[in-house]
Amino acid sequence: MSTGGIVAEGLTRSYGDLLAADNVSLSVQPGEVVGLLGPNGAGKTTTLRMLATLLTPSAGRATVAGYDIAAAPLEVRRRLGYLTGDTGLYNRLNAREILRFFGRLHGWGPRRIEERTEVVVDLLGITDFAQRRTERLSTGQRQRISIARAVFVEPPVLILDEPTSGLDILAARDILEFFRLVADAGTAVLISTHIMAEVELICDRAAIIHRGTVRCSGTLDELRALGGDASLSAGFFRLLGEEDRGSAKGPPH
Amino acid sequence: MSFQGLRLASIIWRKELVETLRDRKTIVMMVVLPLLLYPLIFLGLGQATAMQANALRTTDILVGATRAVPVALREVIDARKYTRLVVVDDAASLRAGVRDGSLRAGVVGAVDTPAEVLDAGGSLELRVVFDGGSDLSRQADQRLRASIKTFADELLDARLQRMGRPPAYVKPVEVKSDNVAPPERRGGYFLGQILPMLISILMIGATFYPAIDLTAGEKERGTLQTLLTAPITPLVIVGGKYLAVVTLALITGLMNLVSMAFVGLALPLPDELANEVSLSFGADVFFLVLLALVMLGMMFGAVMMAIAVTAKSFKEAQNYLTPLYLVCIFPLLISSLPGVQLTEVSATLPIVNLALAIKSLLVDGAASPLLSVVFISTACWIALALALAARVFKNEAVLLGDAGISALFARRGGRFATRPPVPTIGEMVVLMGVTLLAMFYGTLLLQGAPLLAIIHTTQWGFILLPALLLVWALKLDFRQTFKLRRPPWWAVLAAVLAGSGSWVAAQLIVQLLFDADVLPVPNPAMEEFSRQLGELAADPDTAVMLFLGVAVAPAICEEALFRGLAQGALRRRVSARSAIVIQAALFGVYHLNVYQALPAFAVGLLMGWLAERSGSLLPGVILHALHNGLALATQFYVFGPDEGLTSAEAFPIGLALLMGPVSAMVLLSMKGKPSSDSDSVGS
Repeated sequence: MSTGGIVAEGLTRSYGDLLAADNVSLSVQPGEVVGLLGPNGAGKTTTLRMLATLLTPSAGRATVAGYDIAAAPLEVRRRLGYLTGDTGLYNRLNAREILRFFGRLHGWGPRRIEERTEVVVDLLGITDFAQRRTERLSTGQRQRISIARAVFVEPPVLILDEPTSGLDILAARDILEFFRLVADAGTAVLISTHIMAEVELICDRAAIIHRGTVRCSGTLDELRALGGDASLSAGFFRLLGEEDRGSAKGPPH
Repeated sequence: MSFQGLRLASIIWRKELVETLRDRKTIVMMVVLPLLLYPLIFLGLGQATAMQANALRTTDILVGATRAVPVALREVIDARKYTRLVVVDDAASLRAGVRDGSLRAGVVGAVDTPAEVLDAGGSLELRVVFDGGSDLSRQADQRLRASIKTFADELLDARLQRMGRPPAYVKPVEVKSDNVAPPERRGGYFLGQILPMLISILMIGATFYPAIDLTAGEKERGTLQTLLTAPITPLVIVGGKYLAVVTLALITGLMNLVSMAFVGLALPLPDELANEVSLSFGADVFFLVLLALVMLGMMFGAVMMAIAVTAKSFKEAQNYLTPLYLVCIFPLLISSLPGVQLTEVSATLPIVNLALAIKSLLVDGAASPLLSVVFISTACWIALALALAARVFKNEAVLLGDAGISALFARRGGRFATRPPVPTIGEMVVLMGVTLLAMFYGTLLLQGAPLLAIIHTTQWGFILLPALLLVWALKLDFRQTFKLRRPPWWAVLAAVLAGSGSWVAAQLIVQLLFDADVLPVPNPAMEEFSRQLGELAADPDTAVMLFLGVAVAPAICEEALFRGLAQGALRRRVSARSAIVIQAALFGVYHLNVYQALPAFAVGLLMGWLAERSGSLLPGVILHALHNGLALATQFYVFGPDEGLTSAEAFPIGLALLMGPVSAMVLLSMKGKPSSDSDSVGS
């Protein structure tokens, strides 16, 4: 068993008769970015929520940063940065206050919080608006603060659920490149998306999930080879089957 | 909660306070409004009222009098300030004048020669005509009555003088009051009547907005999910948020109190009241009142949060809490009724106990021995409400999905359950509401109808029919919802044994409650109901229908609703024990009668247990029919309507009969698990 990163074995979650995630197994090593690729409703969010200890699995097990998600959820959360595309921010607090709040919830002292705040604020380019209440900021600025919050306590594992949704193409690229850098520094990053270009930009490996089950996983080259024409999109469509193309909202980019 | 937990909760508390206090709306609601509102309402309105009253007093008013009104009286009226009198020919013209407003009011005399009647020592009939829909006319009416009184008093004095009698001659007895209550106690009584109600309403209002904003509001804004991935437990989150809600409520309460106190100081009491009433208290009373107020805020905060947290959005939370607001005000209304005092029982009732404690502290100026009971029981209620809120916070379906308010009763870590073919808790709660409304308004509509018709319509039409319609409309399974299956033999035996003696136990409970002065003496309406039942029982033509209505119909209809539908719905989400207790409590409340509530609850427990163990409705039906039938038969055929079961003659029989329920319970506890095909989920 790995002591770092993410290891999931047979994670299953049902809502009544519906199997939202069915026997999902995947792993993310420290320093690696793994993409969870699938159309809307494929089970990506359910899988990530289970790994983030927000949902209890109906079956299966997983470890995050070496801790079992069911047996030691608090230890998992201590070592996890979790971010979604629609993450809300406290509207009437500013970036520094939000970072301070989460730093304190992690048991950090004031000095350590102040030092880390300066680093993160600088790293994500939010210095100019770090003193303004988040309700007065643009979507892109708010998302930068959310990212700052997720990476603030230097978690060894990052789980990102469609982190670029609602962002323009430039802002999205900046953010993805940032996560690549974070991974290169040794963090295990699991990112869910339905956008091929994002996977190609930052992922080392990817798992294609559809109707709750992982259809295949491997390096990007292995996935490209599935389609036979060296394109991820071709591999994706071939795997999902022609009949499912309509259910995948919007063609993968 | 550990020290570390408290530290983390305090971090959340501080953050919530900062965020809430930065909201302009909150500041306006919490600080500006109370500081401005009371002076504006009390001083502004008070002055406006005084000015208006003065204006009315000094308005010139034209009044009329018929020629049959004594001249002396007319002179008295005309001599009054701001009042001018015109003489009118007859009563009809005077009435027409008052009606069209040309005259504000008038006096009509009944006889044409009033002076002769008065000189002869007779009594004169006068009629004041006025328009009750006009302020000016009411003012004119007052002035005329005052003038008539002056005239009559002078007349009486003159008569007494002629007779050589002193004024005391017509006042053989004069009553004066001697109030032994010191001014502090009178002031306390005055405050005790209004303060608990007023402060409570303010406190509920003060917890309303923060309780929603910090729970459902946070869910709506998408920040709750982030908080849940922080390394803290749900209890810490609930604790921190709860502290913030209570703090905000107390700030609001304090602001309101300060504002009211200033207004109270600025508004001089009327002289006659100022001399008699003092609003000063000892430091101990002041401290205890303050403590009770803080606990009131904590109580409301806990209840509001437990409910608000189940909502998905701000709007949904408002929909849940608005009725709760009204529900909370109801016990306050009860506690403000004259004569309602702190007793061993009322000291344990949530909200009521604190309101009564404040009332008793203010009136007596000292702590009641029951105060500790009040504070301890309130602490228990608060803990219960908080435990519920924390439980909801552990429920992922509520936090991420849409489980709604039924999550309050859900199993720990509740899942998105598959739908079995029986109603949900939410559907059951709606049905109960509809049934209650149907019973209440239906009974009003049926007023005046024969008693037998009312009894049967209530059972079949208001209790059973809505339940059947619900199951039919939702296309659910009738057999499973109403537990329509063959019971095991031992369950039937237990039902017969229990039914043969449960009515004795029920009557004993009522008798004990009477003896302990917990229950009030039956009112005339109840005695009339009992008398009518007796008449129906005595007549062989109606006796059969009476037994069908009182024993058989409830056995079928109430069992179907409570032990069938309600208990089944509850069993989808809660343990067998909780389901039995909740349905029995509902069964007790549904009797809408203080005399029947507790016995019904007790028998409801037994019937619920029977249904749970046997998986069938039939044993409960048998028990219920025997219980009601035997109680009725004993009341009207064995002892007669006026005798109870306390006589020495009845005691040994009652004791023997009580063995029935006892042996039934032994039998039930010996029989293992309920049947495997029970409709319970996860049992």
